[in-house]
Amino acid sequence: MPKLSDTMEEGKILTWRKQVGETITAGEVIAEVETDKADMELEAAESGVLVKIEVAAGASATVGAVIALLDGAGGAEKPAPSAKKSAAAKSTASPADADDERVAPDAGDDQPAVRAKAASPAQSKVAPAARVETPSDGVKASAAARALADERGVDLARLTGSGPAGRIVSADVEAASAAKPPRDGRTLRAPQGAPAVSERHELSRMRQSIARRMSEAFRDIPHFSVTAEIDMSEAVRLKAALEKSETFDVPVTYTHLVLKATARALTRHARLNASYRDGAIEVHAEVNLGMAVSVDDGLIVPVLRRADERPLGDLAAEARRLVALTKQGRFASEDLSGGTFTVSNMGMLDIDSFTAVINPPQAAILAVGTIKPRAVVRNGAVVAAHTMFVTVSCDHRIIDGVMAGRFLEELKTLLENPIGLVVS
Amino acid sequence: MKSAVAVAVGPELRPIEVRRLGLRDYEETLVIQEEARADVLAGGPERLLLVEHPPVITLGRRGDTRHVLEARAPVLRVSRGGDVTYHGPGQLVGYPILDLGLRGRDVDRYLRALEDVLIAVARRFAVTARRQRGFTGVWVGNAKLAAIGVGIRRWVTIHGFALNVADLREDFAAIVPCGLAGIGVTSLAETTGRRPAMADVEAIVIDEFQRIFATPDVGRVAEARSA
Repeated sequence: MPKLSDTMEEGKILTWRKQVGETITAGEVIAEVETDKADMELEAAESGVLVKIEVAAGASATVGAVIALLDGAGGAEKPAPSAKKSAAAKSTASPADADDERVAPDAGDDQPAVRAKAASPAQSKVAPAARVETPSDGVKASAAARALADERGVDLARLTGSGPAGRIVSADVEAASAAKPPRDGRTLRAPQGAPAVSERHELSRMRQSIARRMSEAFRDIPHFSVTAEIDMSEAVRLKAALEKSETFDVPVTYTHLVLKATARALTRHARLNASYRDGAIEVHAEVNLGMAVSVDDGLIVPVLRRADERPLGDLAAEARRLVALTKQGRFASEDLSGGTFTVSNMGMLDIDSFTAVINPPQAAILAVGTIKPRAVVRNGAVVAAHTMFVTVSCDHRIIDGVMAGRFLEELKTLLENPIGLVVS
Repeated sequence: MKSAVAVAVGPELRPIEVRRLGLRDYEETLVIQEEARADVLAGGPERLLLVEHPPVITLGRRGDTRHVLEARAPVLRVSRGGDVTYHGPGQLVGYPILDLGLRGRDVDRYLRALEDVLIAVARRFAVTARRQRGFTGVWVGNAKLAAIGVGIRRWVTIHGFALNVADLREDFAAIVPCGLAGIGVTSLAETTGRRPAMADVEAIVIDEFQRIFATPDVGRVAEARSA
């Protein structure tokens, strides 16, 4: 990862322009790297074959980290350094059936996303082509040959290698793919009755984690949810006034007001700031609010610590900092741990209301919809007012409906009289 | 010994050529930028292109189409940093084609220097604009006055900045500016209470740009190293 600035610590690979197995000449653009709001084209310093991508597109790496391996001898091949490790990881994977080309999760590092994506839909449907790249097939082949075989849909197990000790090299794959008859249309078809699959992507680390945690939460926690409509007219006025007077160093958004109000409501309704653990209720001493932040194909929940004790301006600054770090992928693991309650805000979309899945071991999560003018009844007349729907999902093992209802009433009172959120 | 002194503080810079392109299509201007960059890479003069675009929404590499609420203008994906933004008449867009290889090879300093230019321009209109750490761009209160997003190849820049001159709030309503929900946009028209003439804004932008980019070590003259 090149250093693009004296202050740069980390950069993000936006996209790889070259794929594993491709030959690169010095000066060719191989990837695009992003830091801040600059997008830098990264050129190869030397010529060679791209044998391994260490940092997949969308991932970040610290300055100086190895992002890819280039075999410098202009086409000479050597095995990727991780081949051994990857064989060990995969030998534990049970033999997959014809339609299943997943790799063991531990193999994630050895399975650059670009390679998975490079496979055309047709190839990913033809199972043997997908499996040849796993060293558990017992075949000796160079990394470049594996990549090429993957691309061409050649089964390495059927080839005889011409390299040292019978290792299969790219030339063998070239020869085999030239001789290979065109693929039979039938093999592209999905099994009878099953919907056709147009694309198949391995889950990213983040998606694996989301999949595991959300399954666990939805399976183990008896969820129920309660919704309230909150009149945000005063909050709209307050936000405008804060902007105009530049009361705080950083702009205060509705999200910040909701976080502040939630934190305070939780201090008064502590059962929602708790965990069910080993048959007991653990009520947390601190209010640490998780903020669900959407990132590219995923969700990260940085934690705003001691949200109840922070004055609004401080809370806004910290929330902003955390969201910015998260969006840039620069958070530390402690930024993501210790949450006691989560707020998921879809206010930026035109969503009235939704229910969120609890983020274990927490006991509740608040789902916030958009603020917009809606018809409300005031003094017997229908008028337009800015309102917002909030829905709290709760763990029924430790929270009952009426507790959730009282919490929302408190939240409603705080947000409908928001001046209290600023003054203390 | 004049040249020896110049070497001591960095390579000597040639004047930056300014081209006012008027109202031009985004894609047409992209071609002009690419040509200018090829020329700079071949040793040609650095440039500042100033232009207004017909309505267009552009997405940076990390741009999220979910941030485009309703497409009231064509949507293009481009090779600059940043998320999604809108360009349209009433907005002055500046594309500096600079060789950062001559200017300290520091992306962060370049972005900060662009902010300095726009803050100085705002000041000439008696508007107090500022930067916000972690949110590249120029802000008045919590609203964005100017957006910044650049692309770099072999240390030569393309893309640049977009300064809202006219009140564009309705146009921006179609997108979430740069993915930051809940953050608004503002303009010189809104903050000064009258819409300045585009030609006047252009003249001031050129003036401040030339002033700030006159030295190789952008924005850090005092720290010029003796190497």
